[in-house]
Amino acid sequence: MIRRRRDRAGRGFTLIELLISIGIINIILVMGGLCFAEIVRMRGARDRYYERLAAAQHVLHLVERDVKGAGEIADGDESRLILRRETSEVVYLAKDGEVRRIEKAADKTRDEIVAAVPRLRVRFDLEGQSPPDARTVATTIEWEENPQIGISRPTLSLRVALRERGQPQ
Amino acid sequence: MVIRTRRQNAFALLDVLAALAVLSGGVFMAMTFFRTEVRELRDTQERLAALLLAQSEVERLYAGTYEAIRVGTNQPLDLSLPAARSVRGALGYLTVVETEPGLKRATIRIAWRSRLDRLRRVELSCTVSREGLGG
Repeated sequence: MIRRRRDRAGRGFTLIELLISIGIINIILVMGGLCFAEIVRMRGARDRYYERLAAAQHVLHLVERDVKGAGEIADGDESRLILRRETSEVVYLAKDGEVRRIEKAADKTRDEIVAAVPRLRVRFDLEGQSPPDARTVATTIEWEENPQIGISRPTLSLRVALRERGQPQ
Repeated sequence: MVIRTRRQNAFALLDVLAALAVLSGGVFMAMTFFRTEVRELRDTQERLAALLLAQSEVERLYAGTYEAIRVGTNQPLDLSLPAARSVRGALGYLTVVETEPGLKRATIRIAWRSRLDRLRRVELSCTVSREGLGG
């Protein structure tokens, strides 16, 4: 026969001990939950940042390709860029986070939205002759970002130059 | 026979310290995760902006004439694009070497200071020929 001798403390938890334990577990759970929520928020913010970054890079890439393939930078201002090719014309229109690319040829017109990201600002700067005989387009894309990811206003710029007498290279 | 005394039911100092160490470890790991994540995103952004600045300079070289590309080491570049402002203390240098007659190799270096005051750098090289550019 096994005899167990227990004193008062060995019989079980008292109400106060239980309450303290539950309190501590609650604190740990709340801290863990907050940490988890923060991780999820951070991941979400990071994913949205990468989406905007991809959209910005896509626009820069398209403008670069079109400028290099154009015969002439015909006209433009901050929100508009017109490139002339031999048989067609490419127009970029940037407004309210939306960038449209319109390609007008003799027989057809292709109008597409190449980026639609809220708060994305696209600006075209047609610059003078540097280098001589060349016209340059500087495309700048900036947007407001969630400060949580440590970058408040990402800005990307790409300048593409086009020789007035022909295509580069 | 099991005999429990009142003393055995309490936490020892070592138990409390171990629990605190585990909790602190968890909090520290979570904080490290956030800091690393934020730092990597910032680095990616700055690196990309710097790379585009370097690419812009390459485009400028391609649009000029062969003669206009001066041979020399560490020629300062005028980084006037708006993105240069988002890369802290960005400085650009161009090094041009004539590898053989009618062929030049240009290297563009963009250097900047990261938020942790570390020196960062990207480098882009291109080769230009007299036939390709003219001049």
